[in-house]
Order: sequence, then C-alpha cells, then structure tokens
Amino acid sequence: MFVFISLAQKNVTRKKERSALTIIGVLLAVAATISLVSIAEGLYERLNYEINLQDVDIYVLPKSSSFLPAGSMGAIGSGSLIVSREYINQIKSIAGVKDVTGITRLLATAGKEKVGVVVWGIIPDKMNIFFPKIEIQEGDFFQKTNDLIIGPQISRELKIDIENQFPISQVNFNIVGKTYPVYSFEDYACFISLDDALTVQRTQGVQEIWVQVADDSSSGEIDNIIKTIRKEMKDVTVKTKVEYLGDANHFVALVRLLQYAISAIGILIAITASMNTMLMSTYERMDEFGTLRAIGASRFFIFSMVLFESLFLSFIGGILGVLLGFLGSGLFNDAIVTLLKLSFPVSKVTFRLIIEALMLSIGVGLLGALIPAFIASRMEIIKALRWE
Amino acid sequence: MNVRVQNLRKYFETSAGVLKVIDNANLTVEKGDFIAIMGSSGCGKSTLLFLLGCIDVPTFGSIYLDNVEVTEADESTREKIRLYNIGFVFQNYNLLPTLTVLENIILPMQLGDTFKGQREARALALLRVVGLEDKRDDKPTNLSGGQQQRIAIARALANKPGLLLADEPTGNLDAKTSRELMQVLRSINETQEVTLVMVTHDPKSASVANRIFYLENGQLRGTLV
Repeated sequence: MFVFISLAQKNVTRKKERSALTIIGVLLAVAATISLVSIAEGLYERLNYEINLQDVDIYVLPKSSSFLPAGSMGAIGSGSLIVSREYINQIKSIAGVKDVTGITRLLATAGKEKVGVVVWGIIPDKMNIFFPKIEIQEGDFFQKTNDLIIGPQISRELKIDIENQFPISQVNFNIVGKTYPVYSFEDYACFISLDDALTVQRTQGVQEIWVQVADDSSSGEIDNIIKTIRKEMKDVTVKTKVEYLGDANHFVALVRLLQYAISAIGILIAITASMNTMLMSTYERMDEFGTLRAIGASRFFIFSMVLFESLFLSFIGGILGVLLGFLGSGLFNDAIVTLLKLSFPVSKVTFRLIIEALMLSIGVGLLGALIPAFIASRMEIIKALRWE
Repeated sequence: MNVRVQNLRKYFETSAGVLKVIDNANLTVEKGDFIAIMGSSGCGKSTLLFLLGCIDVPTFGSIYLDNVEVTEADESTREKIRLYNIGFVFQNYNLLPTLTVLENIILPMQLGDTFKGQREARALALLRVVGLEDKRDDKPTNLSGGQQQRIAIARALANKPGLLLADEPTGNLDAKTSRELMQVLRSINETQEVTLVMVTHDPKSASVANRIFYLENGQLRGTLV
C-alpha cells in the first residue's frame, strides 16, 4: 500500500546534488526562523519570570494607560499617567485585601558611561512582601529618606557598593543594602522608598497600585474586590495577575508574529526552491510516471509519490534546520548577553518552537510539491510516455 | 482473454485538419491467440495498442475485453484493467532505474493485491521464465537491451494478465537478440495462456505470431502466417 514511500525515497537519492540544495534551502529557512523566533520565546519566558517575581494578585493602573510589560523591562516613563495615592489606603480598607503598595518606576543614569538604571519606588516595609524572592545580601532594607538598595549586577558594573552614593536627578542616595541575584532585570535595578521616588519625580500620584488579597480568598471574593475598586475609583484600570500575564503574553505574541513575518521571506524562498526542484524532477521523470500509470498506478499514487518526495526532503531540511537554529540562537544569545552584560539568557529554543519549525518545513515541502504533483498525476499517459 | 474491436476510430485535431489515424478498424482476437500488427512508421500501430491497453480513449467505436466494453469505463476502472488484466511491454523497456530487477517485477504486484508473501516467489518464477534469475539484484541500467526487455516482459506478467500488449518489443534489439526475445514471447503465449498482441515493423518478429494484421489508412487487414 505504501510502495510510493519506498519509490519516493529511492528517487530523492537519484540526483543527490539537487536534493541537497533543496534540503539546504529548507534548512536555512528553518534555522533563520528558529534563531529569530527564539528571541520572542526568550522574551515570553523572561516576562513571565519577571512578573512572577512580584507577589501581586491585583494591579491597579491609570485608566488610559496602554499595556507595557511589567517589571524593570518596561513601563519606564509611564509617569505621566498616575493613580491617586489616596487610593492606597482606600483599597486597603476593602474587605479581603491583605496588603497594598504604591509603585513608581523612574530611570536614572549613573557612572561615567551614564548607564541607564531602573529605580523602583515602593513603600519601604512592603518590599519583601511584594518582592518575596528578592532578599538582602548585604546591609539592610531602607529605613530613612534617601536610602537606596542596589541590585548586584548594577553594583558590580558601576563598581559601587554599600556606603557609596547613587545620584538620581541630582539627589544623592545612600546605598544601604544590596540584594542577592535573582537572575532577572531586578539585578540591574535599584529600590528607593515611594516617598523619595515621588519627590524626585515631582508628582503626587503613583504609576501602579499592587494589591495582595487574603490567602484564603476565593475567586468570587477577588471579583468582589475588583468590582469595589472599579465602583469606587472610576479613573483606574484593574487587572488580575492572570490578566496582566495575558496582556504580557499578547504583547509577546505580536512580537512573535512580527518575527514570523520577517522569516516569511526565507520561507518563500525555500518554497520556491522546493517547487523548482520538484518541477525539474517531475519533468525529468515524466516517462516514468507514464510507465507507472500504464502498468496500473493510480493518479493518487503518482500524486502521493511526488508529494512524499518533497515532504521527505523538507523534513530532513527541517531537522537539520532545527539543529542549525539551536546554534544560531545560541550564538545570538551569547552575543547579546555579552554585549549587554546580562546574567540571564535572552533567547530560548522551546519544544513548541521546534514543533512549529518542523511543521513549517513540512508546509514548505507540501506547498513546493503541490503543483509538480498535480502536473505529474494529471498528465496524459501517452504524452508522459513520449516525454523527452 | 478475448479482444474484440468494433468500428474503432481515433482522430486527432491538427493544424492541417483532422488526422484519421484509426478509421473504422475491426478486429477479433481469441483467447490465447498471438497476433502481430504491422504497418509503416506513423500509421497508428502504437495508437491502436494504446487504445487496446486502456491507455487512450477512441473517438468512436468499441473495444471489448472478455466481452466487456471498456471504452466507456471511467479512469478508475481503466486503472484497474491496466493493473490486473493487461500487461504492457514497451519498445524502450521503461523499467524504473532506481529499482532492482526483482523490485521492478514486484512493483505491479505491490500496486495490486498480491499477498506480500507471494510477491517475491512469483517474481523469481517469472525471472526463470525469461531466463534471468541470476540478475535479480542488478539495476536495469547494468543490463543489455535484450535483458532489459526480458525483465519488462516479466514485469508485464506480474499480475497474471489475460492480455499482453507489446509495442515494438524488438525495435531496439539486434537480429539475434530479437529472435531470442520472440521465442520467449512465443513460449509465454503457449505456456501462460496469455493473449498476445504485438505491434512491430519487423517481418521476422511478426512471423512468430499466429496471424499478422496490417494497418493501412487507419484500417486493419488480416492474414494467417
């Protein structure tokens, strides 16, 4: 029944150079796609990791704020949109709310090279509550005005440590603590009290309010808290952590789509190469298709055979492309990590990406072979037998 | 298998007008008969063979194989007739170069419903019939023209067809090899109870047949050898 498979396999080894060129075409397209899309995969992992560093159940944001990725990776400069600081106490009084903090981020430049540093403003005693994974390695949490906690990577990069000073908008902050590395952008960030951050920013409102609900809260109770916030505070947007992650992942999906769109150029070239090979191969073997039809092979048999040949080549190209993609993604990752002096990877080849890349290679084979397979299977037997 | 051709016509549209290649041809071949069809080059011998082999369809007229009209059959039915009831031998052998001799003979059985365990045994038996059992693992390109044509005959017999159609089987062979090949065909016709219709321009090859027909002006004229 599957004799067309063995025939197709024998045919692909007939013109080795041409088969190799087709494989290379698919290989390059798949490798380029993997290298490129692995950045979106890395971004997805990073965003989720960063957001999960924060122990937050509900985010309260300014009403008209557009989504930006949370954490030190984004939201810089969204200070023009603020949430009233009075809402912090108002939310805290809602039944079922365990803890609340205002959050503000600002960008400082430090060192001779004017390195950009994200500075978090947070209510002092809330830092270990909302960032439970970030622990103090040396020194202590901030106690008084102009105290600052520095991340380990920025400390190393700027060669500043506890008892040194860190300037933010012409105000010198005293470094009183240094955090343990958590292998995230928080390692490159600093933390100051919310009051100091608002003073530096010359604003009365906060960028976000983070809410923790009581540990035993049901989803119904969380919904009630959200409803209360929405009812009492008309100028805010409320999101649960799941929604916040969903927004972040939606952002990554857009990036991912963009990267696939860029890869499409390579994929189109691969499809053209595959189709060209299969067309040449088909016309060269037209008399053989005629013979097969004359001895009783069906049109479906011929169609399947040509299709399988192409799929076989493309799948091999896909597998090799995945291997090359691993290499490309790794090299890209090393280059970025070295360049930006990061302590964590920026790209990742995930299982989903591998499956997508292999499906892509199969798609290339399928699209490249449809026309040749149709021509081979529909050719009149006599014309095929007399083909030269 | 008996073959009956009634008022067969095959016309082609050309820039010079309608070309009547087969024009009211009639023919009856009894089961187990061996006939040769001769004619000048381009007279339509191969076209007639393709019509008999369900490879082409006539413009008008009927072909009956074992008293069943096949000219009106759909493509799927014609595929099955070609697979199970007709064996085709081509002038250029038309063996698949990627397959070994044995694989070429097994191929029609794989396309059909021959039980897997019987295929190799039958292919080897056919190789013995054509005297090439020692070539089973060779590729066709390593064989001489005469040997390739024998393999093509063995392949044509793979699914035990009732009708064997041979299109200029000795056209590319020298005189000695042609004689040997015709003896193989004669022997097959006698021992395998297969009806044999051969198109040839070679009178010596045609003389091996029971009857010779001449295709002239699109019509068949027959004679006993």
